Amino acid sequence: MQQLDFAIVGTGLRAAMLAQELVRVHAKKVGLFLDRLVEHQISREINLGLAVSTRPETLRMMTEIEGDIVPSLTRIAGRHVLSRVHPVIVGVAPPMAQGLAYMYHYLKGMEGEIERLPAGDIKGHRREAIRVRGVRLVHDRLVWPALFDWLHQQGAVLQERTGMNINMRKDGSARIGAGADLFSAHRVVLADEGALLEHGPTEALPEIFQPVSCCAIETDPVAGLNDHLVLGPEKGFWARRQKNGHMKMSAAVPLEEMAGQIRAFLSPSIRPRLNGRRTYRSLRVRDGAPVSGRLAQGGMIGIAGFGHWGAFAAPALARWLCGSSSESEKSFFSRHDPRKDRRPVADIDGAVGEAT
Amino acid sequence: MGNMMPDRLAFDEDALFSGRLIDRGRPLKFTLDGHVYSAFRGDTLLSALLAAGVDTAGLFDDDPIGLTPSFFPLVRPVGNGETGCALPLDRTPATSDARYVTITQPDADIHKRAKNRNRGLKRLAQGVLRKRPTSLELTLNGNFSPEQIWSQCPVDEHVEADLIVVGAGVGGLSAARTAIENGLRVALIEQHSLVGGDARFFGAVEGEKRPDAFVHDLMLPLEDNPLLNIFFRTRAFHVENGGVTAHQVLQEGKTVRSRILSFSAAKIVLATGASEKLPLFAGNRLPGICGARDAFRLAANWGVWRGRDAAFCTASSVATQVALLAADMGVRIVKLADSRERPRSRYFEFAKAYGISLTTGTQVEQAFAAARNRVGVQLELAAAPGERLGDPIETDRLIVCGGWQADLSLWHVAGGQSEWDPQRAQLVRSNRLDQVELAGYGAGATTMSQCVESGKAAVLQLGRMAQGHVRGWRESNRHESADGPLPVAPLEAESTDCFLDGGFSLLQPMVRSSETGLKALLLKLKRSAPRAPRIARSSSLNDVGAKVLLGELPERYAGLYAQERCGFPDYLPEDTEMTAGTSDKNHHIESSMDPTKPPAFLSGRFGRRQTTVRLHCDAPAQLETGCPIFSGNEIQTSDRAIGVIYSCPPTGQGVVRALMTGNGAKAGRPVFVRNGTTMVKCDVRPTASASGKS
Repeated sequence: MQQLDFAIVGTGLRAAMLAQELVRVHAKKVGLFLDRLVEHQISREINLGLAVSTRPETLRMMTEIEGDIVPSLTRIAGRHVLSRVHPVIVGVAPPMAQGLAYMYHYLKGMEGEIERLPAGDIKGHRREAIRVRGVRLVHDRLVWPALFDWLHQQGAVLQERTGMNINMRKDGSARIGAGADLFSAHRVVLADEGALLEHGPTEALPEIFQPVSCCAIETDPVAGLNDHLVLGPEKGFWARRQKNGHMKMSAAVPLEEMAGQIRAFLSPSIRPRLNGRRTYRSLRVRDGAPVSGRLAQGGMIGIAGFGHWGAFAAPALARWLCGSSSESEKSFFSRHDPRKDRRPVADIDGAVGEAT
Repeated sequence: MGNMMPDRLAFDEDALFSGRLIDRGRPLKFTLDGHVYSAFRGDTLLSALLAAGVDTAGLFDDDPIGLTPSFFPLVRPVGNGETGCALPLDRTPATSDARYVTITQPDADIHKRAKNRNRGLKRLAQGVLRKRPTSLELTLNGNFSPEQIWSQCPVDEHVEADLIVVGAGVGGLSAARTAIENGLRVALIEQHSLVGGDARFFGAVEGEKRPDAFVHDLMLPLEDNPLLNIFFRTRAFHVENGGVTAHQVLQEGKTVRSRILSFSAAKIVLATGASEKLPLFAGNRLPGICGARDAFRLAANWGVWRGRDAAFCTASSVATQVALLAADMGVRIVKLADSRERPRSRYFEFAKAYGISLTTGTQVEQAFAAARNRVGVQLELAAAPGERLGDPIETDRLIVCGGWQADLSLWHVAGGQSEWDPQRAQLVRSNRLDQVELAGYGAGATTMSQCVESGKAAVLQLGRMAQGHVRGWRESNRHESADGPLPVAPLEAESTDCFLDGGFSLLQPMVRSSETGLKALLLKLKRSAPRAPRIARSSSLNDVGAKVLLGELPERYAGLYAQERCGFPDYLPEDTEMTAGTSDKNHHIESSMDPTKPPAFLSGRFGRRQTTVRLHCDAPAQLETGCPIFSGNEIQTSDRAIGVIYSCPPTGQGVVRALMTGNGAKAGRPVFVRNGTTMVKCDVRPTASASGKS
């Protein structure tokens, strides 16, 4: 049975980058349990150096750590895996629109390159929208092959997530079966919402998690869109136009509701043609804030709710897991424990209600 | 007339390549894009064009792409006010004096007529010199699957039945017959204008009747049967529970129009046969290169054959029979090559009798355009790709066949799943659906008898009348070697004209250059020219198979990949309800929120003792929700804020409400609100409730 310091279970780049950081910076023995199909699948995530948040501690954290993954990413996969984009964030429902106003003023006051778009800017529909300039974007399709190769070369264990089973021990360690192989992991980290949904403790999953149906699509070229990247945080919507005009989109809605998302966040007149579609289940964090901590006493460690900046948070998460965080990072992750009172961290995507 | 149709075989009543669908005694003319073409009654527009020597669809980047039965543009009639959906060249009958234009996609930038500045001059020169066009001159970058266009057309007619059978090959006919024998009303959808599918091409195995007799016997109880409704020239492009949507080409006298038919039935049998794999080598879609089955259909149905000689490079025994039949018609076979090492087939024995020698263990390394509209072919050892065999040969036509893939496209559209079968080197179905069943090749049948059994089994399975399962299908054809693996030539970064499939997806391999230094840079620059995208495009099943064989996609993921990308491309389903936010109505920012209470995401924002207050400001019109509040009037970073405005009337008339730290919220205290670079002085007033704590 192979011994691991960490078993990182995930469905996307955050998990892989976390494993990479644990190996590269902290010299840990790591097993990454992630389906390599991700390299070929329609992307369900977009990785940006941008937190859509109203909470100063989250925005500050993002600003401080945003550049941490750049050296490792570029060393492993080349400098072309990162580029700068100017995403437009659109709010339709009143709480979200109000949240964007807070975010705008906060970032403006931190000298961020941010601008408010006129409400009529989004095809004549009343929407609150802001544009953030110079945000880092990870081209994950270019990262995957190089990252897998690098992890393999560094002796990390790469295993398929599908079909694995995790037997937790009381002390938080676990016995893991994957394919014909057995592993003993000192700690198990469910590094994203997909992993939490499929491998989390079904009955003991904290109530802040809500299962949702999601879809991701790729389309033919779409004409008439000026913005290359649009985010609609209310339903986890994002749409990215590639150089050739083709679009990639994803949202936490069933496929039959995707047209409504496109109308709301892009344009009422757009009806793109599908080149590929993918439907899947995931989890939403009800209060819209990051989650970092054990799901139960002595249980797995869950990480969720980081939105698009999950991969960028990987270095800080790795430091936290290894106990080498700065005080501010330690405080941040501690405040976002899923078993603590979450009201003080409730964020932009949280339930509508009164502050307490 | 012969001159106008240079690629039409001479008539031979006894030959299989006689052109059984055309009436050579009834010539006609039609116009496409301003050019007049000759045809016979029974021709399709495609067969007539190919017979007239039009062998090029257009350019994909700078590479010419052949016009074939697997790849052709759509057309629209002109001059008769016809506004129906676009017509496909392969199913549209040629009618006298009809006029058509090739059409562009709705988003014309991805499929438009080639920008040929000298086009008018070229056409004039062609007219003066009486030279025939050989190309439709389209630019082909982008995805222009016909199904995408048809899916946007309104439904013209609804058809109800108890069972829908898609495909009138042997499997489909058997399913229809079984259903009718059980008293079910059957709608049989067939894309061609006759039944039997590819039975003639694949032929009979030992002990079976000849294909025509086989099909005739199957059809006997179906003819004039009131329970059967056959829809010819109709292509199904969408399947869902309880329904099939199809595009039909309808001929009424001289008028040809298209219709979208919506079929409803509780059960559906898909008997869509197989698609032919395209061997992978540079130049594999040049004009003059054709799949073996396409070549067979063109010759057998319409007597069309390009040129006077032909080379064959295949991985499947059935392709060899095409060479023999062509030789019967006087075509000189310059090469008959098979990529398998020691293939066994009755056709090879026949070939010897014809004086045609078979070269085994050989595949195409690359093809290129040669002089006089011929195709240059460089062969190589299949076991040692890159090891060339002699000098290139030249031929009028290169017939290739890379084996077969069950056509599971509609199966995927219907929600079916598939997985990679390493033995058959193709995707096979991996689950069952309650209302949809496969028959024929898609169900694993490889002979006519097995297809019949599979058709019966499918209907019985759907009706829960019996377990539809037939054993031992693959072992029965023991006198023929199994098809070889898809021939794959070594691909270099320069091989920009290699495609994964012969159909509409136009996907190319992800070739990685082994070059370094300056040459790599030059190659990169060359390839960064406007190449079509390789990812964001729907794939065919053959694309997926090719990706597996090229190592681009692990076998275990092939089924999931196909599930995501291999349905016919379609538009997103329309929803009736706005779902993005809580409502689609034009809300003002605070219109549906209680303005007296701060939102949840401000919980604890300014500490445990944070308090709600009212602000009385000098210039309230300059304030807005989200503005931070500071104790001093110098510009400070947001971190230093002691409060924030959470409710602010847009006109500045009304109560401005804020959330502040416990210490900052002292009545009468002056504070400063920042909006951008503007600082506005305000006084703190307690809230009406006076409790303050939120």
